[in-house]
Amino acid sequence: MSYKSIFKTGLGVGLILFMVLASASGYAGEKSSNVVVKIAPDIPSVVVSHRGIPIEVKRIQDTSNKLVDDFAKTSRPCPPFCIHPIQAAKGVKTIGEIELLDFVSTEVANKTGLLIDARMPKWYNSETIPGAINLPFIIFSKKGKSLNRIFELLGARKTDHGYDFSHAKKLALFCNGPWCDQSPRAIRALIADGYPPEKLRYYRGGMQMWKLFGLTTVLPQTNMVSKK
Amino acid sequence: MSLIKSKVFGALVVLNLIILGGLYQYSDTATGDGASTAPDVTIDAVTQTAAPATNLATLETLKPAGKATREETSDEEEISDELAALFDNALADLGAIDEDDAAYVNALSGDSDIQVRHADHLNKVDISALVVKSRARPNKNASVEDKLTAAVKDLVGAIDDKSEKSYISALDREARVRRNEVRLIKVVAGDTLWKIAARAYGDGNLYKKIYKANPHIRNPDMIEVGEMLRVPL
Repeated sequence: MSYKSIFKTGLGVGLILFMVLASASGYAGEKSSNVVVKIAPDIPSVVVSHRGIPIEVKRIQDTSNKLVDDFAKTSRPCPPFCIHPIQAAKGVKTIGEIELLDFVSTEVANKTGLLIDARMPKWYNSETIPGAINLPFIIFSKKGKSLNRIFELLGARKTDHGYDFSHAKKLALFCNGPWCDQSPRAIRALIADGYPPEKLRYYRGGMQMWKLFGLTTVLPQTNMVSKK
Repeated sequence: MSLIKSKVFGALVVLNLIILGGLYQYSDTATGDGASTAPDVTIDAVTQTAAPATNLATLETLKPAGKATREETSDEEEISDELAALFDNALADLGAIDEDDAAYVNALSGDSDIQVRHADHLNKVDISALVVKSRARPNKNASVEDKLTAAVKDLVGAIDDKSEKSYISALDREARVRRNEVRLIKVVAGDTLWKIAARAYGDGNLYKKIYKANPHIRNPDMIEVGEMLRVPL
């Protein structure tokens, strides 16, 4: 491959990626002049659907803002909170924030994919990424009727030998970030049950990176101090 | 001058080749795995950030720290010295670089005068009131999301966590920390940090805790009605 054609490939891929994002994502353009901290050069915000509720995903605009809560922590005991490799399992793509937003805007919007928060319900309920549903990792280690029901809802078909996943939805899984084993555990369990690795995505950055970029979150359960 | 320029150009060519070489590798990997379906292909080409399977960094190959060893060959040292010199030359003459790159370099050195304040510092959307409806048992026409959520609820309750007990209890501990960190309170008319502290902690003397947890507050006497503040436990 010559230098020129390599350059063309790079340019083409970038252009197509931009077009996919710009066209497929809600693309709230009208306020773009006020947005200093954008998601990408031409994407101030993206509207995604969280179980039917439209949520504008944008970033915190105060350029002096810093994380001050527990996501600013540097150290948790390892084990169990260890640094994870870039890949969760062989054949499973690792994705970043832009690809996650694209996944929600295309696959999830077209009902061919689901964004999965694989954390325990306590975590999901206190804060999650817009568009995510909660499938805690522990449910996959328990075989039985209820798990079969979940596989069927994910689009798997029961056969004599187990499940046929060829029409199953693509899943993008995340948890608390690179120090969290909850989504890697879910991914390993899904693969062990026959889910094709190429239908899975691992958002390794998870809540940690999502929060660090000041991206919008949703609160499925409120945690307000009640009025006295 | 022309000598410097050609050196700068040389450095940029080297840089470009490194970057494009990387891109080329990614696109090659993506087309090579052959698993993706059509609409995904373009994004896959860029998102193949993971190393090819043969290069997969596994924890098995990572060894605990022992004696540090230095195995650099002299060839590698020579190349890195040469590259360093090229970079130095390129950086010395920023006028010669692309306008876009120059603007980016300036932004990196903090010269940007863009500062925005008085914005939403939490960027959280409370949907608790909106999802109540979907907590009820979903009907036939419910979305897959709602059906899955209901199915999970049955399963989570029925699970005995013995096999993963220690991990779950460690997670529970961290979840408690998180839950305490993300407590919120809404500023009402006539509020002061003292009053808010009294409401949140039962002790106005703890107002400094709120001040510390909300660094965007410049003047503790100037808080906006309706604003959400963190009141960690």
